[in-house]
Amino acid sequence: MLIKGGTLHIGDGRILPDTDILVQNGKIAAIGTGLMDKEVIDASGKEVFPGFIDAADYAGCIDMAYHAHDYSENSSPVVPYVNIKHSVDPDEVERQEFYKSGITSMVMVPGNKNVIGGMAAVLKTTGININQMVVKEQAALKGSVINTVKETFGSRGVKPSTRMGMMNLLKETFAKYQKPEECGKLSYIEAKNRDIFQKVFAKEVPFVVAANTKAEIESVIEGLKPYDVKLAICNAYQAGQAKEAILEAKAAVILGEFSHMSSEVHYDTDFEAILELERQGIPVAISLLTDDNVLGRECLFWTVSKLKKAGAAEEQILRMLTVHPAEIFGIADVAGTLEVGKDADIVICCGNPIEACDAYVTETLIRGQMVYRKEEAVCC
Amino acid sequence: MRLLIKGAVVYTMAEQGVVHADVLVQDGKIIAVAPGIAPEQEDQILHAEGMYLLPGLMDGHVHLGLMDMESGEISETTAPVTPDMEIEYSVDFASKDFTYCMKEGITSVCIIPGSSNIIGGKGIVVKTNCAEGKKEILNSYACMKAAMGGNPQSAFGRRGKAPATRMEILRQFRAYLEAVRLFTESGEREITSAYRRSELLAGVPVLEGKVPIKIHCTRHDMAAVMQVLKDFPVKYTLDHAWGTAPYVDQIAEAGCGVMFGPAGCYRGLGEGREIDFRDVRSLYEKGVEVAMISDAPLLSPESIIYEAGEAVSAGVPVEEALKMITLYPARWTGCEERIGSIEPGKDADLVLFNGLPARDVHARVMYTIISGNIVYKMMIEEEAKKIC
Repeated sequence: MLIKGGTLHIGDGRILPDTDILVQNGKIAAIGTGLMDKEVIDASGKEVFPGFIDAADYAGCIDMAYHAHDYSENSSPVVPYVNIKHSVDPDEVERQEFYKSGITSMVMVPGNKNVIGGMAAVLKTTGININQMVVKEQAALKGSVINTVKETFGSRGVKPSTRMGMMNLLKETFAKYQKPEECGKLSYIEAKNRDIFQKVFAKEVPFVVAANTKAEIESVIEGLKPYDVKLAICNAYQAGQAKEAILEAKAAVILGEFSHMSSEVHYDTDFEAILELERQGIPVAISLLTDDNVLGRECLFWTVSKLKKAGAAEEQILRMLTVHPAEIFGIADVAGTLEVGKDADIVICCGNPIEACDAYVTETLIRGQMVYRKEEAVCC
Repeated sequence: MRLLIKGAVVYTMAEQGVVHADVLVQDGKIIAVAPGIAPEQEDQILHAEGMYLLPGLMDGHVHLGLMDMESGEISETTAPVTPDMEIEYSVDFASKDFTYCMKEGITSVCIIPGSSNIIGGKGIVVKTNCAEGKKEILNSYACMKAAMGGNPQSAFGRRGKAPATRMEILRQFRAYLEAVRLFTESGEREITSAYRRSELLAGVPVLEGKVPIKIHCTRHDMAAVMQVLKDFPVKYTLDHAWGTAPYVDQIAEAGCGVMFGPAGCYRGLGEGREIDFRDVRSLYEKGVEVAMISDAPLLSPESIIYEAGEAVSAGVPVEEALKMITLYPARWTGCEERIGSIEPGKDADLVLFNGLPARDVHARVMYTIISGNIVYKMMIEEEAKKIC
């Protein structure tokens, strides 16, 4: 399939006008001019982007029919050895119609109720079954030190019921699995947990931890200082206020969703400072995850608007939607930019949705398959 | 002292349409909208070249000041029909949500009871500078709140009380309106045993068509309530209105308003999966007046701006989308005399943006003006430096 004559936003800052993309076997086979193929999508006058990545979400794990809330294994505050992949209902993911907003990949994370909540996975946003959707399994270990944890366990009289309780459990767990031999003979589950932590200590996968406020972010960074791990802070509403700590730790930042229950109002988010972090080399991604919920696809671009209001450049926003999340979760070999050899996750738009409200997606490709085409799209 | 706003592109939301004009403000009111107004010596001048001037934005459906307290203040759930409840007494007017609204250009909000009751009580319209100690209520009876569907059903049915079903909700809704009619026709003497006098009195201006009923409803609940209301000469808005596609013609015929949102929600089961801005476009094309709502604090108040942008993305013209967050909410909450457009005689509730909201993703509030006073000002870097 050939996508002909579009303005390509590569993702690394380059913008190539009137350029073609050749798609073969689900991959980008060539980028250039004058390319030929039998099947052609005319993209002249359109803007072409790499598929956007929602950097944290658990859409598909809620099970609305039975209110099962399959995203948090809240029988215990520390459950490293569960895999979010096993909770995903592909139909429920499909219902979100992510591709209509150009979102082609999502990082499926366990919820924010557990200090250690299990393994995250990167998925494509549509597919006939979960195995087909997987981009990367065991892509991160997920944790949380926000109020949601206290509210879940403290109310039952189970530790943690305080911030010090959460930090205590977090540090204890990291200490235990760094030197498991000091803990005597490990049980079956402890041995599995150790295997997971070994990936974290080897920096094969990041530890993604929810921390809202300046104090929570600084506590996590301080508490995990003894360990050489790849740290990413999600739901990081006050990342701007915790700028120094984040820069020093070189932690990645994943912004939570801002519209739900007036999150921005209550956390006093400093968007200018967050943009400054990104300019100083901190990977910053955006997501639809709230403290105890997830929102609809539109909201990813409502966050884009907040960042634009704070003065973000277009290429900076695009990095947050593509390159940065790909880098944080180790999928830059297959996603994040329009480059030869990567998955053909491609969004074709009438207008530029990072600049204009009246822009809209006309076609979305995931692994070269057209998963969405807008009817009656009359492009300007 | 007068305030003269010079050189902005003015979206009047009135007959004048979009004009390049100056706007003159005196004693909290707009007194002139015209190009090249000459300033007098005392006038405070606001140079707004390159900016866009809009009427203060309005959200016609919020629960601000009701939910940031520990105990719930949103619904009086001891009975399903409580028409004489006055939401004013539950609101914390000092909530920082109101101050945030000013920062985002929202100058008025209609605060209403929640949706646990079939009839929940009286909503008010207040200006958002209320947290600064200037509580100005524009309309103390802006609407009567009602709710259909799952909310009253679960709030009462789960406790083994009526209503446990939609059919009982519609029965009680009609029974109340019929009791009010009987009460009015009898010269306010006939009181059925089911309602107190004050409950019936609350319904009188509703049946006179002076106060609209604001009905929480979606999908088939809309069809049901529109059918019942054919028998009463009332004004009403269908609020939330998710899953509108099959009912667009019926809504246009009914002549009611629609308050759409909150959007951007997770697509769960039922109505929640049917949020679709193409419906907003269809309603607009049929001549229905649609207002965007955030249901704040459920969504952040400025979400109405993003919702207007989504409507534009779905094909609604920008000026119409902006009416959805200014003129129409004012009209459908009985405040059009005072706010909702930029015309001489109206309150000087105004917002200056550095781009056009619902068109430019980067559009940001530079100034918010309420009753002629600048209540919020964005500090621009160069300007901040000057002050330093």
